[in-house]
Amino acid sequence: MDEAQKIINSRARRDFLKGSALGLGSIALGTLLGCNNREKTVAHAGSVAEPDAENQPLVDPHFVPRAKRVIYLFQSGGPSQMELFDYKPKLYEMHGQEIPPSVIGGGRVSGMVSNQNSFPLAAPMTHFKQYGSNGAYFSDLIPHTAGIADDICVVRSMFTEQINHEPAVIFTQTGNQLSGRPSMGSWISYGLGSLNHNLPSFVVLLSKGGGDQPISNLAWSNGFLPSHHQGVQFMSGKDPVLYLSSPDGVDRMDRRRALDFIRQFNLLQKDKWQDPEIDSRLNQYEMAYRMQMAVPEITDLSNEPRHILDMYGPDVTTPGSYAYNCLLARKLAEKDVRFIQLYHLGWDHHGNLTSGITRATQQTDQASAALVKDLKQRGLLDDTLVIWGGEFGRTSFSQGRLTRESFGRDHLPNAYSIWMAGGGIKSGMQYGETDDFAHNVVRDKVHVHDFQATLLYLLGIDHERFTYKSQGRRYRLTDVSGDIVKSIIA
Amino acid sequence: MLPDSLDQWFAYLGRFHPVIVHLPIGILLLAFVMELGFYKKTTIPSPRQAVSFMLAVGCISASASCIAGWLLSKQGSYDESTLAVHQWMGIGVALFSGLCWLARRKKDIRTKAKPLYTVLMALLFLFLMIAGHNGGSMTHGDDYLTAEMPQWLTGENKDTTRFIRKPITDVNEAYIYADLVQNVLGDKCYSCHSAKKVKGGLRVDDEKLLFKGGKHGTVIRPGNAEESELIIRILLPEEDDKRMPPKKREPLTPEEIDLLKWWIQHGADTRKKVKDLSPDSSVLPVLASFAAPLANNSDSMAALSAVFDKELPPADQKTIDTLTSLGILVAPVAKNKNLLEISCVNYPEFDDDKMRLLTKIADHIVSLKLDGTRITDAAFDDISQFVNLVRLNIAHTPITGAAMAKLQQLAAIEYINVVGTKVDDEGLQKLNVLPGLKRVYCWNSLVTGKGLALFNQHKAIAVAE
Repeated sequence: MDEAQKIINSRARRDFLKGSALGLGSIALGTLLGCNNREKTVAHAGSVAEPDAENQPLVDPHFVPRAKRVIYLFQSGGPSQMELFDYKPKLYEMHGQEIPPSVIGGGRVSGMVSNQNSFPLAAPMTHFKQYGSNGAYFSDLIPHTAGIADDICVVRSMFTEQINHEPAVIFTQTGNQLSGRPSMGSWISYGLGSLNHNLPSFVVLLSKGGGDQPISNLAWSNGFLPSHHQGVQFMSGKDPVLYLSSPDGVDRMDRRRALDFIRQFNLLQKDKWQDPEIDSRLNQYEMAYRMQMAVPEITDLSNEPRHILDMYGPDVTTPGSYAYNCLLARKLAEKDVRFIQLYHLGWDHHGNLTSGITRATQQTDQASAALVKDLKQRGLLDDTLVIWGGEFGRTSFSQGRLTRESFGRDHLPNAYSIWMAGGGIKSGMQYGETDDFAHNVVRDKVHVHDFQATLLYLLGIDHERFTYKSQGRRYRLTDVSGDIVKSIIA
Repeated sequence: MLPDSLDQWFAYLGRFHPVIVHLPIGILLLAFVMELGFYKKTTIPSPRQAVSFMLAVGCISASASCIAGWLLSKQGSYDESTLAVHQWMGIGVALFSGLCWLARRKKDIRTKAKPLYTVLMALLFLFLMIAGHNGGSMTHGDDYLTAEMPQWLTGENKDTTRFIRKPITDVNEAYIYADLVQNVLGDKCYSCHSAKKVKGGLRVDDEKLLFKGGKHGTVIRPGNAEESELIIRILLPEEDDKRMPPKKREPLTPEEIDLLKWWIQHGADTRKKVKDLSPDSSVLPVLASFAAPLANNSDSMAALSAVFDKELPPADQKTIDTLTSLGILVAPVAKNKNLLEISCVNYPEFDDDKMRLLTKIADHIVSLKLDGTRITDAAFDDISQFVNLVRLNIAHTPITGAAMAKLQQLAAIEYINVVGTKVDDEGLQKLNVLPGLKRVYCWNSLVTGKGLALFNQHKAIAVAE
């Protein structure tokens, strides 16, 4: 498009905004009079003007979606696949022996073990049993997850390109190893918009008490998308969303009046500078105002009956625990929040794996399974995609010395396991296969981009047609690759 | 190390056939070229001695080649008809080059013997070509020469020569060998192992021959897939010369390999149907992949209701605007679709009066989310008009079981959510008549375990943890 055309278009936008400024003013009046929180417009269309005319949200999905919302239980640090889902009997037999060099082949190992001169295989610290109607193997560490074997699809053939936490997390979340691209949740918030205009369409819940490996908020960044699509983090404690509540003594009506007045200034500024980020700011102010009503309802667990709380486990009453966040996730899903992103830290077991993974599974197993069961009994699992998984796997050989009591496992990008449930995913399925050492995928490889393409497909989006132009090129969540894993779609 | 028995000597000498065989071809062809010059009286000076020398050497080398060829034919299994033609043509070449030599020696060839000599030479040329071509076909495959031939030369569309798979409608009723295994073999193996070409002595298009195996023995060991040559060869790495199908040929898919393994492991029976082996869940997805349409590149919507394919004129915009202004979400199910989904998540005040508004767009509603609203049983006269309704969520509303009878007309409905309502056993049973119903969620309602069990006798679809 030539520059002259762009200016003409931007004039058109200016006119539109002048018109809508009046319209929005009258909504404000309505809320003043009625003091209820509904609006004249439906927020499911991202109504901000975009800097580039081709950057239009999809609004409606490309095709009929299977899933309406996503709950992503991100297990940060790299859960060990052979202690949880990927049963490898050979490892018990070969405990203490060197991993055959051909298994590692030309693949790289991390700098943490590259000067190790021995790579002894470590037998998994746990035992496996068969569960569910198709006899899938699950470890003793995750009895609750094993209990929902018939509701989930375990993908044992994931692989990634990154070997260190930060780039691998960013890669899984944004499709690129370097930070700066939009997170999955942002893409979906931007593309499909909100189903509930009183709550953000992308909510982030970070659980406490996991481990020391930090997670950067770049993982839920909006990247180059308008900034009101970034993940909104719900904190534990008195104020779940920072700076949301009005200061003491400020009435809700006063807040409304102040917002309307500030809006006028912002629109003037927007008229002058044409900066789309001003729209984002306006959106965020309005969202915050509506959230003042909606969020306390979400975080109030007093109406949850005892047996539901018990299902999630003893931690559920501790704000900020993984179990608490899982329950919150269910409540947000009930309110149709599009993308609910949980992060649990504490899966990075380089040494002393036995106690580390026992702790991590105690914190997460029961609540993860409870979430799936709770969604199912409420009839929400059909159109809610639940994902459990980390950024990479771990090695079958020990990092550091292998002793009877203790050993560690290093990062492994070649193979790891995740599970998914609901939202159009086949249930009671095991997909993909690794070699005897859970080191390389031997069948049905699923690349991170394949996983992302599948996720978008379930939400009704063709990942190849869903782009955003920034700095002169079009970007996709799946970059330039990604094949939908059709075999796991119901 | 030298071969120590006579048989081994013969086998060893036989391997010289491909080396020797090129001598008569080259030498005799040169003789033809020189004779062409002789007839045209060109500048080649007196080729007589040269040509007769060549014919002599050609005859000797052709004879040696025949002997080596005969030895070679004893060890390999070649297509018999091709081999017979090749053999007799080869012998013809040896014989006729000798006769030509005798004729050429006569000094008066220019006058008397010339016609005879010409005929002999022409026949020799013909035999040489046929023998050479058949020899090539046996070593490289009979489509070796034509495989890369441009389409305008062959005059045929390559794709049409491919094996066409028989479509499978019901996997459980399919014969494992005849319908599934042969489909795979036909697609991936026939081009080298069937009536038209028998590489390695193996034919897979015929039951008896398949079980007989190839020149290295049987390829199928019933009950033992891991040790069956057929499976071993298929699983070799692509770089391996023994891998089947060889490099550049389309390999078998993992599902196809699993099918063959499963079939052999279960005794490689050729008469049984899939259901006879009562496949376990690990092989079910594999089998299911054979029932699916083979060319599945489109956005598969097989699992979605046929309602979504319906083309309707756009719904009344005024009604949509009215609903939207109330805070009700009204959204098309997808781009370019006029079917609508409606959600009252931001409008819990929705009640029976407002349901009236929806009747104006009754045909367009496929998904209706009214959980937590104020609707009562009175709203169901309106809901019963939503003929294309697929999903109905009326959880946590004051409705009762009596309302369920009104849903019996909704033929398209697949999902009903009455969690946290006063729907009872009697109400649940009313839903039994719905043909497409996939799930009823009735947790936390008045439905009892007994009512649930009774309902699930007909269809195991009601859920209440």
